[in-house]
Parts: sequence; C-alpha cells; structure tokens
Amino acid sequence: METIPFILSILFGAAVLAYLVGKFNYILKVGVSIVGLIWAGWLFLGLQGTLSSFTFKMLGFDIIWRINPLSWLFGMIIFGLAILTAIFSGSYMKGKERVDFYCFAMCITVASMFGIVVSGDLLSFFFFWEIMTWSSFLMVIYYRYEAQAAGLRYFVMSMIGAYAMLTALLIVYAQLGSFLFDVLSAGWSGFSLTLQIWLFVLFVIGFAVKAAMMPLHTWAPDAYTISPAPFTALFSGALSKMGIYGLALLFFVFGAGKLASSVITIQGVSLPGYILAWFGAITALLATFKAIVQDDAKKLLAYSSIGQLGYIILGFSLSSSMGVTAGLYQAVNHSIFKGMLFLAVGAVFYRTGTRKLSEMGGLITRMPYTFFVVLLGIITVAGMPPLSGFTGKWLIYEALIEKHLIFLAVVAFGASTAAFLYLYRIIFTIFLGQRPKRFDEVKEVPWMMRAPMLILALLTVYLGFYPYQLLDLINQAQVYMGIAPFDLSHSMLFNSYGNVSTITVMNIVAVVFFIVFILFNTLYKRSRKVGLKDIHTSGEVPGEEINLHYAVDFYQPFARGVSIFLKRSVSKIYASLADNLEGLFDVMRYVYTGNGQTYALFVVIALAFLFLVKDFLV
Amino acid sequence: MDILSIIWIIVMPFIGSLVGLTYMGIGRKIIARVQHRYGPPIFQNVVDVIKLYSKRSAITHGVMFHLAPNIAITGTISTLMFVPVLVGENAISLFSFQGDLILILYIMVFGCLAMALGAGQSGNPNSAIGVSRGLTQMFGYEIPFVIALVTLMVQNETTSVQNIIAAQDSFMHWNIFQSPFAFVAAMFAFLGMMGNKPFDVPFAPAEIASGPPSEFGGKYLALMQTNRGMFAFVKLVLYVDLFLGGATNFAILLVKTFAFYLIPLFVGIVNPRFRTEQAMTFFWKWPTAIGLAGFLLVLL
Repeated sequence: METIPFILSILFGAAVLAYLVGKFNYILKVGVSIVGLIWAGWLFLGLQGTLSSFTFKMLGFDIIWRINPLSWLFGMIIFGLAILTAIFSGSYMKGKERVDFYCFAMCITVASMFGIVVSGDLLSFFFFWEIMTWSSFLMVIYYRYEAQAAGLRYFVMSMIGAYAMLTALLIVYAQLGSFLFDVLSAGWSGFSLTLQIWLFVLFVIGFAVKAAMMPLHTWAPDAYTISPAPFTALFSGALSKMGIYGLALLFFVFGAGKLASSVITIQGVSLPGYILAWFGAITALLATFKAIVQDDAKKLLAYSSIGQLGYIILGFSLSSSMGVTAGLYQAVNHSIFKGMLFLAVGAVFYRTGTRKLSEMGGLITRMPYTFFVVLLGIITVAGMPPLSGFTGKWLIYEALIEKHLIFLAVVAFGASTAAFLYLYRIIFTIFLGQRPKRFDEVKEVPWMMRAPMLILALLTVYLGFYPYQLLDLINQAQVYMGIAPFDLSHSMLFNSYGNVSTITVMNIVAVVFFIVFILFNTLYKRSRKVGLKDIHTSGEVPGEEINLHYAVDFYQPFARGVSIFLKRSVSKIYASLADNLEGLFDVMRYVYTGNGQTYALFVVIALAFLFLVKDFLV
Repeated sequence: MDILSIIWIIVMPFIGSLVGLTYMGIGRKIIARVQHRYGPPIFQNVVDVIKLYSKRSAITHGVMFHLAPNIAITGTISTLMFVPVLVGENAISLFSFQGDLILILYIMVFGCLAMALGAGQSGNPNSAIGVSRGLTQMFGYEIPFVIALVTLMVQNETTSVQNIIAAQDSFMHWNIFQSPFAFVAAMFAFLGMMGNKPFDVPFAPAEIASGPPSEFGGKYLALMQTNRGMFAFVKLVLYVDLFLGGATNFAILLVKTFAFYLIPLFVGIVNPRFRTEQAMTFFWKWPTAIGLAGFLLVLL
C-alpha cells in the first residue's frame, strides 16, 4: 500500500479504535492513540527527501496526495508536537470524563492536518481543512457549558474563513476547470489583475482566520483558553500553523507571488505583501499589549501566540529569501516554545487547579522541572541569544533591514521588547515570590508529563547551538518553493549585513557562567538559607499568614500608559456590527411575520402584479 | 587567536567594572558638590565592592536567588565580548567579529532577565514592584533606541558594529554629525538606560527601598555591583562606538565615555523622579518624534 494513504488510515483507524475500545479501559484508549501517532509519525519521518505521490479519481475529480520538502517540514511540526502532547495527555486526562472522545478528536485532528499538508489539489485541501475545523471545534467545546460561547465564536470565524476559501476555490475551478495545484500555479498568471487581487484577498482571509491574524483573531484567546491544556499546545503549535502553510502555498505554490511583479512595489516588496506585512506587524504589537494585561495564564499565552504568528506572517509577506527563511524558522520554533509553555501552564493547572496568575506564586520549589521548562521557554520566546529563539529574531530583523523597511523593523522590535513584560509576568507570578499556604503541598507532575516538556526544552537548547540543522531543512523547502535558499554555514548565521556565530555565543555564555559559578561556590562557604517570609520590610513585621506576593495588576502603570490601545477591541466592533445587523433583520421581520395569512396576501399581490404586467413580459 | 587578545579577553571584564564603578564614584562626588556637600571619595564604590567581596557569610532565598548575580554577570561579560573596545592599530575587538548589533541588543537583556528572576525569588514585594517598573520603563526607552539603531544600520547598510565604526573614519564622519536625529533619540534612550533621575523608578530608594537588589547582601551584592559597573561601561563603550567613531587608545576611550556618562548625570541632578507610566510614555513623545524625523531623512 502507498505510504500516504496508509498513514491516513492509521490515523483515522487509531481514532475510531480509541473511541471503541475506550469504553473498556483507560490505558488501552490512550495507548491506541499514542501508538497510532508514533507509528504514523515514524512512517512519515521516512518520507523525507522523497517525492512520493498518490493519485486517484473521485467523482470525476483528480485527487493528488504528495510529499514535498515544504509539506514534510510542516508535517514534522504536526507529528512531533502531536506525539508529545498525546503522551502528555496520557497523564493529564487521567480521571477526566469522555477521554475516548478526547482521543478520537485528537487523532482526527492530526489526521486532517496531515491531510492538509499532503494535499496536492484544492478539493482535498478544502475537505481536510473542514475536518480540521470540525474536529478542533469538538476539542474547544470539551468542557461543554462554559465553552459554549468560545466554541460558537470559533465556529463562526472558521466559517467566515471557509466560505472565503470556498468562493476562491470555485472561482479557480470556473476559470481553469481543475482543482490541481499544478494547474493553478501554471494558470495564475493568466488571470486578470482584478481577479488575482480577489483571489488573493479571499485566500488570505481563509488562511488568516486559522493563523489568528488581527482583525480575524477574536476566536483565538477564548478557544485557546478553554480547550484542554495538551490540546491547546497542539492547537497553537500546529493547528494555527496550517494558516501559515496556506499562506506559503498561496505565495509560492499557487503563484500569488507573481502578483508582485504586476503591481506597485514598496522597497522591493509587492504591495499586497507589504500590506500583509503591516497586518502581521500590527498583530504582533497589539496582541503583545493585550497579553501583558491578562490575568489568565492561558489567555496570556494565547495572545502571545497571536503575536508570534504576526511575526511569521511578517516574514512570509516579504517574499525575500531571508524573510521566508525567517518565517519558516519562526514557525517551527513557535511550535516548540509555545508547546512547552502551554504544556507547562497545563501542568501547573493540573496540580493547582487554577489558571489565575494572581492566585499562584512560589511554585519553584514545588515544581522545579516545570519551572525549568518555563524558564527556557521564556528565554526562547524573548529571543535571547543562547537559545533557538534568537536565530528567528535575527533572521526577521535582518530581512527587514536588508529591505530598508525601517518602520516595520521598529514595530517588530517594539513588539519583541514588550514581550519581555508578559514573559516575566508569567514566570514570576507562577513560580517566584511568596507561596500561598494552600499550595504548600503541591507536587511536581508525573514523569509522563515532564518528559514531553523536557524534550521540547532540550530541543531549543540544541537548536540554539546548531540552528543550521533546521535551516538546512528550511532551505530544501525554499528550493521547492522557488526561492533562493539562505546561505548556510555550520557555525555562522550571516548575510551581507552582518553575522552571528551561534556556537561562539553559546560557548562564551557557558564558559563565563561556569567560571563564575565555580569561583562563587568554592571561595565562599555555603550561604545560609532563609525562608521567603524572612525579608526586609523596613521594620514592620507582617504576620506569617500575610502573603506579600505582588501579582494583582502587575503592570498597572503600563496599562495606564497604553490604555489608548487597550480600550479598543475588535470584538467590540464585531459586537456593534452584529447589533446593527440585528436592527436590520428586525425590519425584515415586518415582511416575514410568520403569519400564514400575510404570506397568502403577498402571494395574491404578486399574482395581481404579474397579471398587470403580463403584456410587457411576453 | 594570539596571546595578546586572549589576555585582553580575560582582563577586559575587570577593567570594565573598575572603570564603571569609578565613574559612579565620581558621579556621587559631583552630585554632592552640586548639593553643597563634601561627598565620598571617588573610589568609594570600588572600596565598597571589595568590602562586600570579603564578607564571609551571606543569606540566600533559593536557587534563582543564588544564581541570579552569577547569570547576570555572565550576560554582561558576554555582551562586553561582542563590543569592540578599541579600534585602529591597537585594536581590542574581543569577539566582535562574530556577532553584530542585533546580537548585542538581545544579549544585553540576558543579564537583566537574570536579575529580575533573582529579585523575584527574594520574596520581597518591593523587588517585584521594581522589576515591573523597570520592564515598563525599558519598553519605553527601547523605542527611540531601536529607531536610532535602525537608522544607523540602514544608513550604513550593515548591522556589524565593526563596519559602523569603520564608516566613521574621520571627525566629520562621526554618526553624531552624520545622523544627528538618531543621536538625539539615542541619547534620550540613554537617559532611561542608565537609570539616573528622572528615570530611576525601578530603584526609587525612598519608595520601594531600592527595589530589585533590596534583598541581596554579601557576595551576591558584591557581584551585582560589579555587574552594574561593568554594564555601565559596556553601554558607554557601545555608544562611543556607534556615535563617536570608537576610540584608538585608552585615554581617548576614557574621555569619550566619561563625556557620555556626564549627560545622564547632569540631567539627573536637576530633575525629580517621573511616575512609572510617565517614565514610559515620555519616550514616545519627543524622542520618538525626533527619531522618526531622522528616518525620513534616511528615506529621502
């Protein structure tokens, strides 16, 4: 049997099997889904570098499923994260209700994402896209009643995206008579300019909804917050990347990149790309502002995720060799660090039962491993040098400066600096400071949950040393997309503007750290350890029961300073739009009264009208 | 790599912290004279640090507290390694050929993050308040700072500090004259960066008992003070490299860096402290406007 349909059938089979056997035994259903995912992932790993494809006809349409370096890259994100989150869920979901349903939806989601990346034609692409929306919707509404509003919003926004994409798809079919990517990329340049712009806008709406680009992001904060923690990691890490994959297809496979040559360019970037870049940059900045003032740990990360995807969109829309490298690198990197952080916050929730930052504190001694993961996670998100995040940031800035896009560069820098604020908030309010009494007995999470987080954490360290390992894979994808690959060396990141040797940085940091560490700990005798309540309080001695953890309204001055940005919200605009539409539909109510006699009157009036004008009609 | 450059790599952190701490001592003296006091001797800060290093005992509040000064100084030394100290015939370039300005921008924050984490684990609410204020202020001054740096990078078509210095080969080619708007914006950012008044909200001795370092003592405080001195030196050298064309020998370096050190000092002497949100939004008004004016010049 061909590998691609075989992987699909493994995944769908695992889903159904997990659901069926799940009625009997907990270990069995989790085991089935984990084994299914690992098996599928293993087979997929073997497809690297091959160009296998699988073709068949369905209802008279050609369907192509194929592998190429681009889809392999995104497929690896999906499988890597899916396997780790499935292992994490094995422990996390223990004792929860409807685990069989959970495993089922998880496997289906992974299968549909895999379907998206292997699709070689718009029909199966759309088909899998809809399965993905539907199955992830099942996950969003896992906690039924409290999740209703979030689920509804997610579904409505996804529908907007899906209809936009469907329209584009039908336009393409009407024009070319085929759904195949190859036909589309050959035929794109034959479209009129207006049509090209329409298709571009429709596809971008379709993909941007999933990538949660502002102003289409309104579903994301609630949906990320409410879905079960391991799935959120997959949701933000892999599922939202499908929007990015879509953009990559649109620009470089469908041929929207050719749109560039026919219209105005700004600093060598096509106008559509330039506008999209601004959308990405604004998303990065505003979502970061929003993240800073959140009190819910997952909501904070959700906004952070929206912001980081803004960066990726920014990179892609430049369409330059470096920009696309930056986008792809950041896409992989985002999956790693956001997976880590969402899993870690899930682990904290698992033990403490709260996501409120203002209620936690001082968990570092109780959950040291989780702390370590969050620490590496925030260093990576912030883009600080020794870890992998820096390479992504460096590539984006170099890409922007290379194109002389200075305003975009400043916005991107600003968003990245603002990210330090929420990153510090998340690590400080959860793990540092004084611990509330009720968390004194909290334990570290089981190894089954620790291991996936630690694997991701070590991955960021590894990529910090050797970013070229990932950049090499990205280059292969870029060659496929028809973009000049980024120049690589084993120890240097470089372009015509500047260079960074990641290994030197890592070595300097490590050597200095250990020298100081050894001197510091051998020359002096052991420090005396005192409790966190034993602090300098200017003479006043607070009682044992008083907790002095500073966590409520952590960035109040900041919120005051940027209130002008924070008080506006896209959701509110949509809500007022909905209100106005409701008013419009009330007017319609006068026509559609629901009374049979009124409708009969309409029919009579219409017939009378037809009689009157019948001479003109003939 | 020859012996001499290895020696400089080892010696430079010590020189850096010594110079930084001495500048702070001179600063204290100047402030005292303005206020009609006699003031401490100019080596008082160095003496204080040596005294702190000789303390035998210290207390710790936990792992991050213990590691924070250690990681902070790691971050600062790593930053120093990528900043060319001297250029010309007797160049001391350390590792500056292997990293560019963007790296310096990001690795600078490494030490600050470690300090913030250590302060967080001290359990003192004043420390956390200080960190929250410090980050807020940092977001403020980073905007004009980045505007200035992007202007320089685009104008010189390079992100490498070495190349930016190389472009400033004569007096009139210094970036202070080449891109004056960027210089003014960067100078405003420098006020925030150095943490003198009116931008000392993160430390604010009278309000939050010096904020982040308030729980640190003994060897921890010693390391943190060393770090502070060195960090000041790094920032000064970076500014000299970017705007005054670097320095060819130590005498010139000291003159140029001290000139830069005096600016925030003098501004601080005659100004009271800002409120936290003012300390952030201040930078988004005139400094940003001036920086953007410089941008327009670059674009034209």
